[in-house]
Amino acid sequence: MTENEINHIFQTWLKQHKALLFKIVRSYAFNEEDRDDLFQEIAIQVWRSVTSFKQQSAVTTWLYRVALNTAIKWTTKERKHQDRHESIDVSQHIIESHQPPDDRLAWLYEEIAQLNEVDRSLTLLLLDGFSYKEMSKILGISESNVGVKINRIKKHLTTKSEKS
Amino acid sequence: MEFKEMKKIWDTQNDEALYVINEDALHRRIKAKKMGTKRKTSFSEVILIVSNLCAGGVVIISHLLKNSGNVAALSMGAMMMIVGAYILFMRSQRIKRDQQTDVSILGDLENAIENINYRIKLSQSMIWFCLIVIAFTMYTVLNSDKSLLNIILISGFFIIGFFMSRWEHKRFNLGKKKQLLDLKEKLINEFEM
Repeated sequence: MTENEINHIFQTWLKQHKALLFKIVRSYAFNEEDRDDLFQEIAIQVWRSVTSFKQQSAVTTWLYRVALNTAIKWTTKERKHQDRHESIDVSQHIIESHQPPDDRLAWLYEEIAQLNEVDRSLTLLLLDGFSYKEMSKILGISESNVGVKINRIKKHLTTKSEKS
Repeated sequence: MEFKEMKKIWDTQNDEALYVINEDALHRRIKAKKMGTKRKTSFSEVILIVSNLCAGGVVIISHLLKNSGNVAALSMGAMMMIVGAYILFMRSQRIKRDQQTDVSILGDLENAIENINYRIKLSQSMIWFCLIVIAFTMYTVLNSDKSLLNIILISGFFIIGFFMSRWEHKRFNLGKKKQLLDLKEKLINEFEM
């Protein structure tokens, strides 16, 4: 694969699947600076992953795998921000959302944020319509385990919504 | 609220027009990250070049002035000079490569990744080189009329130096590998229900 081909694929993925990436970023990073930082990390990992993509799965499945791995790793880092010795201009943010405020969506994100990193991944995959089989492939766990976890998550979210 | 309803709310985000990537800002952030990596790489190179050339020069000159005829010491000095010169050459190649980089987001990204890989290789090579220098020095010291205390002090200095460089390599370069293993463990534990 030539460099131009890699660049072209990366730009296309970024353009076509930015909503997917932003959902993950919003679920794992909770202020604008962290969101920019995580988005940047994900963009780097997605670019690096272009040559490893063998078209054995859908692009969305691949991107979810790369982006979720990056997001989970990113949250495990002790320090969330960029190296403080590097002078970074944060006056301009990388991702800009033109989304009208939706209280129900904000509530959903708040609930997702309270889950642990793995449950958060499963919830995102579930909400985006992935099958148990796909989820098990992305996370590297058995389908039966996915099923048990998903049932717990669904029950948890529905109970919470009834209480609020 | 039923889960189906939550999914409907979630799907409202799929409208691509709702999100915009500020390419200019992304480019700037990647550039800032690249500059940080560049500074660290450059610092490591300068330290290695200066220390090797100076130490090698001092060893050779002192033995030539004393006319000691110590082949092991002279070989070690020569080797340090060669390694210093080689790193100087690699540094010039790297700078040339940096200057040829495409000034796009992707060009910057690729360059940052190349620099990180280069630093890992440099660090690994220096650990092995350090072992050779230790072996040469110890051979020279043991064959000289140095006191036992001197030999112990020199050995201690090398042992500390060697372990410090290994620690630095593990702490900064292999940290990412550790993160992956931690993550794997976390996943396994999470699903052992």
